[in-house]
Amino acid sequence: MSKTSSLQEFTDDIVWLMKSRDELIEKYEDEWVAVWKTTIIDHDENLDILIERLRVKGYKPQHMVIEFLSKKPIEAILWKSKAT
Amino acid sequence: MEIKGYINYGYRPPAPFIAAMIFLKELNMEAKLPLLIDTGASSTMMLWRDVERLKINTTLLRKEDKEFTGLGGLTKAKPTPTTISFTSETGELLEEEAEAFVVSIPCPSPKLELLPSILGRDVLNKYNLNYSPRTDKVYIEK
Repeated sequence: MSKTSSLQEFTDDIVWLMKSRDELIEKYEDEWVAVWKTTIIDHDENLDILIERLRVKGYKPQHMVIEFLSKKPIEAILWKSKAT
Repeated sequence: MEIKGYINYGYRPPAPFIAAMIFLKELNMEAKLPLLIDTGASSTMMLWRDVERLKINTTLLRKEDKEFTGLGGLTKAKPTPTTISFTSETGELLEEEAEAFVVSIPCPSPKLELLPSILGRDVLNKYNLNYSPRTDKVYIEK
């Protein structure tokens, strides 16, 4: 698969997750979910455990959408280099 | 050429993101990840959740740590030569060479583990950024 189509598939999974978020939160609240081809293929409260399980199953977590689903919104922050 | 992003409503306030592929040259490691579009950040930075997801061994990165400050406090990160790739809706690939930073100290708080990696001004300044949250649109353009 080319880099472009592989990245497009990843984007499609993100878009699907964003659209399905409200529905999925009811089922997977406060869990990490792994998405592959617009399907939740695994989930866990612990990111490390989820990643290890995905590897054992033969998936490549580095190429998958893995997100934390919570009803509590995440607050983002700014980062600035001390030197700049 | 336009690279379409998306708005993630799981953040307060909702935040603009873009999907990217990164290649960390020193580690010969390729991965895909969502990047928070952050014009307040000087540098593109990989934070703990992706360091953990990708099992990045930061001791293998040769350059020295640099200190960064944010609302999450002080942290250290190592610079590493990185290729960041985006794809347009029409299937074109855009690649940027950058010196991305990878956090190199343990995550100081479980809350910070939820934070996404960041696309900073080192890359964003090469693009026009169009962000219209009221119409749910975000894209970068070159």
